[in-house]
Amino acid sequence: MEGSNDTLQLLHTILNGSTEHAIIALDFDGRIQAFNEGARRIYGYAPEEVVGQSAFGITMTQEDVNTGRAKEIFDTAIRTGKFEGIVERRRKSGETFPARVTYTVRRDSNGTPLGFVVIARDITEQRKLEQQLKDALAKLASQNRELEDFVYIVSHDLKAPLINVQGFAVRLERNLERLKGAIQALAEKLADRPSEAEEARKAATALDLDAPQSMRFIKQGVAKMNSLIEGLLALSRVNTESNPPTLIDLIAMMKRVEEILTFEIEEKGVLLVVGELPTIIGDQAAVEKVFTNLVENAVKYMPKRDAPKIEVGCVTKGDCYEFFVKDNGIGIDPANFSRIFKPFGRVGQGDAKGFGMGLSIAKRIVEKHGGRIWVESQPGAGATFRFTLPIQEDDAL
Amino acid sequence: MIKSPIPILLAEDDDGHAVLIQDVFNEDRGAARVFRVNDGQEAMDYLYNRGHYTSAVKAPRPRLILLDIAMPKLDGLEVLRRVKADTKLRTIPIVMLTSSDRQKEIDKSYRLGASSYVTKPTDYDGLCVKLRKLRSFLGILEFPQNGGESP
Repeated sequence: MEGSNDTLQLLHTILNGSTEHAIIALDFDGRIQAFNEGARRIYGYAPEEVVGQSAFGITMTQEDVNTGRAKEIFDTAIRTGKFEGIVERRRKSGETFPARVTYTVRRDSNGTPLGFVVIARDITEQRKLEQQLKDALAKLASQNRELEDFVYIVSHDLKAPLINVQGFAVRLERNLERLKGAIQALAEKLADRPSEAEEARKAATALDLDAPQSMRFIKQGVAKMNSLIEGLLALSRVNTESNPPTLIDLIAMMKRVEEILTFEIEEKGVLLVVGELPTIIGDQAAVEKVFTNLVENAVKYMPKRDAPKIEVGCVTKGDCYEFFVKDNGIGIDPANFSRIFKPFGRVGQGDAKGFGMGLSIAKRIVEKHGGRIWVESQPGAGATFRFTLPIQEDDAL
Repeated sequence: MIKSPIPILLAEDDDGHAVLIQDVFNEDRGAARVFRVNDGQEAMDYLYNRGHYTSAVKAPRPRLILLDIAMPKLDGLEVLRRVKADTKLRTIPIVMLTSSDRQKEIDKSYRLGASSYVTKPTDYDGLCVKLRKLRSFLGILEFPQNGGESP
């Protein structure tokens, strides 16, 4: 019997030591039979106030009683032996609060069901924190949208003056050409005044030498500025323009990528090998952009060498697909790994076309899809870009 | 028969852009005459012959409207909406000619009844090509009902 006393003592300690959890014993009619310290703290009743009373209308809300929800919970617990869920509960003050509850059928030593043990935890604070987190995320998302909007608008506003710089530079160039012609004609008419004719010829030569160079610099400046703006716009579009997720056959998609890049691939004589790829769910245009940008990047930095090759494939890693784009090109110094994913973060060859946004756009898209992207490489030893995308239930390899 | 130039209304707040656009339309001497206004409000005044535009000679009904989107006072999309809501004006073709290539503005323009949407490229030659194509659209405007098609 000593063992039994110890067990009772242990149960008593658990009951009254559980101050964060309300532990209530009910009979099948819902009458309260035991009410621990945690229940006193959470509901605000002293055990003597409620033991023997029906929990309907005391700890349960009137709404749950009226709608039959309270009865449903009882039925579920009886039928399955247990009910777990989040319900509204009521304190002595009348205030209601969210609680995570577990109903378990309790039995006597013969196994005869006697009623329920209800363990409840007040999750008001947890809910508040969840709400705060939700609000903070919503605010962040809204600020991000505003920022993207800002980048977009500023980029467009920056474009407008470029149209003028370009357009009027061309007009000026044409007028200078006319002026040059006029000066040359004048020089010929000044045959009887050699020194003045010489001055005119010098002026025409100066125009001839200077104007094209000035124009070239203006045009180069505009083109550079334009490509920076286009880059910013492309980056901001990742977040401002998205499409609903669809089923994407990545093999078919890679055929399109190859078509888009036909010229570049053929120009460098690159062999593009596409391995087994799954069908996934995602923003088709965005996912295509990731593959296009990675392959384009690999082609762009491919040096003149024997058997240039780019391999694209996929392996399954846990709950993710891990895709790779592997090349046997010039490789990347590990010191530059983080830089290459930043906007305008181009490394090395200054003559490569583009505005250095491809990888940072790919990174944004991958992260927006819940994946991550990285590169493995050594200078001279080629580079392998890898990125993951979470496997979704409907994806099929 | 001497044809009178086709009046075109250009609503453009950027002076430079207005000059470049008018230049291209003037290449085809005498075929078109561009009337330029600086903002959306002026465009509405022009179309209703009010304010500075009471004279129908100085502000003839345009056969084509070119609308920038980002303009002070009244933006291009609002001008488009108002013109298309007016039974007397709604038949005038409107081409959005703007530096914005934002998809939602393109979609909205077509939804509001724009005939076309042309983005201004930053390279001058590209701009000229696009504007010349627009100008060739005038050929269609010259024969709106009959005679436009060969028998």
